[in-house]
Amino acid sequence: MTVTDEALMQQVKHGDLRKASDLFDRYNKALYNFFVKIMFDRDLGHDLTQNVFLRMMKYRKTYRGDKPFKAWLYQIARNVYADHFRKNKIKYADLTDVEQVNDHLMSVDEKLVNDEREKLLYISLYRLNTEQREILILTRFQEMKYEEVSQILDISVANVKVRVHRAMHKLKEAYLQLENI
Amino acid sequence: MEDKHKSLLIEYIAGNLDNEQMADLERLLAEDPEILREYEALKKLTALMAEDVELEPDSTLREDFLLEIERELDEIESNSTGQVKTIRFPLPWKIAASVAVIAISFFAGKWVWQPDEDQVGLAGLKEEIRLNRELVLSSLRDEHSASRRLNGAVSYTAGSPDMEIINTLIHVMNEDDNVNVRLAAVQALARFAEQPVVTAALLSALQVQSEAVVQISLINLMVDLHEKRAVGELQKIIDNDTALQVVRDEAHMAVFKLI
Repeated sequence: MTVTDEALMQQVKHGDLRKASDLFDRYNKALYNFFVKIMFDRDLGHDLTQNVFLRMMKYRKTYRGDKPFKAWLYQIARNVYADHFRKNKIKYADLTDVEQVNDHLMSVDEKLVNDEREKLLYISLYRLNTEQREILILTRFQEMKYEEVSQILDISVANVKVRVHRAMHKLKEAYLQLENI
Repeated sequence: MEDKHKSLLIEYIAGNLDNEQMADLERLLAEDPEILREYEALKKLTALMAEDVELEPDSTLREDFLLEIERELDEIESNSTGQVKTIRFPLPWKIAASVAVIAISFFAGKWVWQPDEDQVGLAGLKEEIRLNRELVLSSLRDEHSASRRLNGAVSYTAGSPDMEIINTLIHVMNEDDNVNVRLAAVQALARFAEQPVVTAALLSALQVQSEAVVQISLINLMVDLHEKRAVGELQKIIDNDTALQVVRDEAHMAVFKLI
């Protein structure tokens, strides 16, 4: 029988640190994709994913188990990238130009540029604000349930739905606009 | 089309409606071509997102984390056997500390140091400065970590110029693959713009940088520095039909302010 995330994290909390590698194996790919698709930077995605797991270790004793482990881990992930933006105080490139996005897509994955529809999807995604991009990555790309997202964002399920609907419509408008160029 | 119908379509595609809601919506889809068009567009987009490429992190991510676990275990063991605990500070703290040590050492050298005072203490301080300077340089040269290079550039705020670090920052500004790291290098170099080598590097960067956010940062810097030698290059940007309009507008304003 598979050990639950929560049970593994309790073991880590109580000193069995090598169990953290199981949690790493379960979530590193999803977190890496989460970061890369929000920021479109593989190097940063790598570093921030690593930071999430280092923080998981550092704050292991504060894990209370009052919410699912996945929600706790994604909350750490959101704090990691919020800190990254705050600390560096760098203006991130405003990727609204098709050619600029093309270059960034190429640096992330050549397949994204070769598939015309995927390319348009990502350019459209980049025309949304970070919060909208984040909620679509969680619910549509990572296929999380609204309940899970509400626990990560600490908002009601109804609020999650409203945000998803707004983001989807904005994405659709951007996509259709590009498709008609 | 009503907003509630748009929202219902999204939930319908996601399979979240009950039977009654589904029946109502399917009736609307059969009757209203506008709703049908909206449904087709949303369905296509949802399918595209579900087919999305999942990227693979490189294997060093796992190896580094396993090493960190072992390091943590060693530390716990050494603490339990009564050894002195080593405090690990995050990299930006170390870099900030290095800058502080450089600044303190400068003032210490100027105001406090007396030739006949303890030479051993001063030697230790010099060694500390050397090590911390190496840390800034190694961060800027870390090819594997953009965030480490970025931290290196952002944190370098020493009062007096160090030519090796300045030359490394110029190299990063011109060659780094990551636009945010290049931007941070421009901003770090701006603090040493009174150095002729830095001014020359910033002027030539204006000719070669093609990313809008970096170009705009350089253009604004030329204005702040009252650098009239940039006017010719700015004029070329204004005349370049392939440059983004927002960049050309910034260049136009800059020429206006500089002349």
